[in-house]
Amino acid sequence: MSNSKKDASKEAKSRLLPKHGNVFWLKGFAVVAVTALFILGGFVVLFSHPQGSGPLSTSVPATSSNSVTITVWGSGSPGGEQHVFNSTLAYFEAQYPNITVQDSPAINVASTNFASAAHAGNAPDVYRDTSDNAGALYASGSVLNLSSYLNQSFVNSFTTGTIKDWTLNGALYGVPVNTNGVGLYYNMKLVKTPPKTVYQMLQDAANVTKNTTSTTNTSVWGMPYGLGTNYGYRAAAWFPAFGGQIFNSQEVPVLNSSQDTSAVSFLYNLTYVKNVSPKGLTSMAQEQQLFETNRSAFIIDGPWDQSLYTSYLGSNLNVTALPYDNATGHYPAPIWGSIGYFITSPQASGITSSQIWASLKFIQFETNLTAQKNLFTKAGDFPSLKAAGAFAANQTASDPLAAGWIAQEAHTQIQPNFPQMNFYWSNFHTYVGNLYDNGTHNVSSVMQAFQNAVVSQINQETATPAAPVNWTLYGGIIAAVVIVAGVGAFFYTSRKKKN
Amino acid sequence: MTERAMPIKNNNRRIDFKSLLWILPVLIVLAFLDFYPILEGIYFSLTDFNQFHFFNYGFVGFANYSYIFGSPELRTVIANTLVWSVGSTVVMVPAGFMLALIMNQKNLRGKYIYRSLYLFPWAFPAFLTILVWSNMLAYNGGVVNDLLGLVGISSIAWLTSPTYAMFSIIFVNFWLSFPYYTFVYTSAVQSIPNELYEAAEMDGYGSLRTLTRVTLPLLKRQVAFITIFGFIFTWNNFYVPFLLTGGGPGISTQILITYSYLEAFSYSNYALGAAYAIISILILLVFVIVTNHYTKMMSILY
Amino acid sequence: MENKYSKKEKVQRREEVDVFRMNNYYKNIRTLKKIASHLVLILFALFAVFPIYYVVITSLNSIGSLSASSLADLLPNTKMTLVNYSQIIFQHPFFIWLRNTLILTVASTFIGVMLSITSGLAMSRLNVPAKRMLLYMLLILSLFPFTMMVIPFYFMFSNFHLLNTYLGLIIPYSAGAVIYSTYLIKNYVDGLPTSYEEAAQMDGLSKAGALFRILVPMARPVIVFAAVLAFMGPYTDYALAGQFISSPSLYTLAIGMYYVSQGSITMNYGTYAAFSVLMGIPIFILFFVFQKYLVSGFSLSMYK
Repeated sequence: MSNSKKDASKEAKSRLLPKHGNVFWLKGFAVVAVTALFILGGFVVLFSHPQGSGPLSTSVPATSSNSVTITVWGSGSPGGEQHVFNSTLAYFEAQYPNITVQDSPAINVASTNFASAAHAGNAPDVYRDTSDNAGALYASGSVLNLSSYLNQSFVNSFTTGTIKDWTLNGALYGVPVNTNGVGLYYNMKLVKTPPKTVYQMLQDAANVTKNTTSTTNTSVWGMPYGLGTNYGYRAAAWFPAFGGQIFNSQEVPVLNSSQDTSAVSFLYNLTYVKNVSPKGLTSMAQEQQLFETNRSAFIIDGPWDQSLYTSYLGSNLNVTALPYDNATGHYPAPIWGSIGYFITSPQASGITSSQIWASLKFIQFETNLTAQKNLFTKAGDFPSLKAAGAFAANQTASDPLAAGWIAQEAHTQIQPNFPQMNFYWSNFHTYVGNLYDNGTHNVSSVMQAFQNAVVSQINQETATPAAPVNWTLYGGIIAAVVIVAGVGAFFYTSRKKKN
Repeated sequence: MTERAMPIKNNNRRIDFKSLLWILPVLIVLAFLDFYPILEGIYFSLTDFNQFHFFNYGFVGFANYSYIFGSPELRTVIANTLVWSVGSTVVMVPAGFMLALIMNQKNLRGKYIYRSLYLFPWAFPAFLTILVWSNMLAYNGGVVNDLLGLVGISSIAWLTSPTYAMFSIIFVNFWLSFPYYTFVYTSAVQSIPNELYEAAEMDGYGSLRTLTRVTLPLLKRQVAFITIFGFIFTWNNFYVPFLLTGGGPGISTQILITYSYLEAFSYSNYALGAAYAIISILILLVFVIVTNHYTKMMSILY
Repeated sequence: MENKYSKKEKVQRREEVDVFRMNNYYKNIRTLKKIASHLVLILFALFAVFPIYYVVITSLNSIGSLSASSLADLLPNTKMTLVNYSQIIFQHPFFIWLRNTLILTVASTFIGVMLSITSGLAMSRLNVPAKRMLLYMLLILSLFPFTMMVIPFYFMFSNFHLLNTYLGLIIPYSAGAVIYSTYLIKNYVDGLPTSYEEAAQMDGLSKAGALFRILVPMARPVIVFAAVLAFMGPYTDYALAGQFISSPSLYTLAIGMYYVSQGSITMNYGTYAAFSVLMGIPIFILFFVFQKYLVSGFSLSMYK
């Protein structure tokens, strides 16, 4: 096609059509359409915003014969815990034929899912989680205060420690089903007698370590400890050993104190000064693999992994309390946490009074003596009921591993369950984990940065006072800004068409 | 040829109102699944929606933004995001282009076999293969370190040392994405008629001169488009850093999108997370507008 | 005269020699180029395939933990078993997960592609108002980070009571497919000539009839391509399904894999690898079968 011909046809076309025919229509219509889209989106924002349900009805029927359905998230990890949960559930449903329980396993139902669900008013009626996660959720208003529903004799049947774990600002917000923390596992093939002091533990670890750097698959380590793993859960045990703590009694972090710094230095030195731990551990699984294959003497871990280690090490496995620090005169005190069941608030789940009644019956059933006995024998969960604890002690009088756990239980700290604790975990992972990965030796400056980060985040989240939202005003402002931007974008994009 | 050479322009400029019915699904999707979450995100970023103000949050203006701009992390995170996106783009896009050019040679055998093998990284679900890579790159017992041990190189902490972590995630991202770019560029390169190459050969052009004088000028806008959208996609690519290093060690591989996730879900600070996401979007929008101004790459859309 | 003649002859002779040499030179260069090309292609092929080979071989090993394996296990050996596969298939509701995944993927692929054919044709052939801006938005909005989307999505779908339902996942999945496929189909149809549908309209077909009857068969490569990509999204999704699905009877393969490999106390690496293979192979076969459409479907031709 020649150029002149092309031009000619163009001209012909432009003569046939009005020069800027309908261009204004086009623009006007487009602006209207785009604006309509934005307004539609804005409306969805306004109307989809979850509204809080009505006030909490405190009167809960003593009994109910009406049929009621409750939803439950979390039946424990697959295996023993889930098995016990299911058998208890079957028994419960036989006892209360008018209550139907809809259950989803704990897996895939993480706290983040619970938070979104609670915010949308769509949370389950009963949820199972650790006492500190539940504490943060209670502080957010998603969890029901059970103090007025449970009588004192029921509460007194649980150990003081677990009840403290589930109490925040004087309110009991859940019922504990077990209690546990970490102790010191050791492989008797490599270490004959349990260390009583930290000094002895380091000696044992140094004796065992055979670091043959050329072939990683044959080296043996005394005490592999990845500081970046577990988000500082295990490390928390060592602050008390040096006289330190995470939060002081005013719930203010004191992580830059000299005591906390020496505790982290101690753990850091296992790798970089004492050379009894390898570098580059990124997950607990890597520590476990070394321990399972007779390539490490010690591992700090909880009773939930005991059956796993037994399957590898058999009778060589033993457990003892974390050893006394003879230099400072203190014992390490692992966080002795608790998992339990709690009921969600009407705002988070729209729970009705009859559902609260059914949920109370359900969580009392799942935490009763029979269930806890079964959990202990089938899943190794340490009971939270005093009576079940006595049963467990009786059962394991001759078991050396149980003796180790009972020894550890004497030196523990209560799980901090106020929401500020939330900032400890991930920041520990970021700052102290980085120290371990880098091997930079500057522990005190890292602890200072850690402290600053936690303080600044707590201030950022708590400082801003919440004012009620003026939806029409701010929605209008946002809509106006977006519309102006949309119109501007339209004119920008259509500008070149005229040429 | 002439029909294809002249892309169809609508001569009749009268707007077709009924055409809105045709694209109704697209409009609905835009309104509900794009505008709505974005507006909600903007709104959240202006409130104090966090675990302390979970149901009773309120409007705080630009407090979250001023906190972010005052925090020492922002600069590191933006620098990481740039290193990650630029680093990934400059290896994966040219590699894809190069492979496409090599496979476009006239009498090369086995093209089909090579192309089929390149399908593996693209076709396998990415979250599976990323976890496989994280095991292969493990410091203790990872197959990469084992293989390096055979040639006498001592183990390297691929994912946990600040020197190698960023390199490793870019490397894995390269593995994941080079096949995609190979296929895209093959599609572009194949559209150049063979006669042009033959003419270039007759004029005595070598391979390099053919590339710079024939192929690249013809595919200018395509290359710009693919590169820039590769950059944007990488910028928002969450899974690779999140599953491989989780942003660690420290925050040395934390990019804007993973940091937004960390703030929202680890610290339950949904407002701050939304503010980070908005900042990321604004940077990208400015980037697209500026690059489009210079390359006119968007013109291949219409 | 004589001088000139002899000079011309000399030049001619020299040129002949040169052409001979050059031919040889070019032949060598070509062979070298070919060898180098194959070398590069083979290196990249090894690079691409090795991790997949590694998963397959690990899935056949009965060794549970990673550090217990050595380089020798990378080669086929006599210890190989299918125990990891039988565990997944017989000890878990694998076929329920598979059924859920197939319902979700097939439904959302079908809906997504059907809707995007209509809108793609319209974007290419009709005078849609603000077309350019819509195209910009389609492309840019689809690149927004999902972390920002998850919570608002959750609130919206919770309000519509769509959590824990097939429909609640089919809607966002097909919506995601619509965005990308519309752009792909529009782009492809732009490259097709208008003459056929104009002829059809002259023969009495309506505009819509002409577009559908004439252009859909012509755009088959891109429709297949869009369908493959639309299938891939929901098949591999974990982020959205993990948020929306809490009922075990609705688990998809991705959630099931998480359940099998992360949920149990003993994280068995072989099981994880076997699940990866079971999940990855079908999608690879899909890509392999439709390979030729993967190239033609992009339609990033120089004529645009």
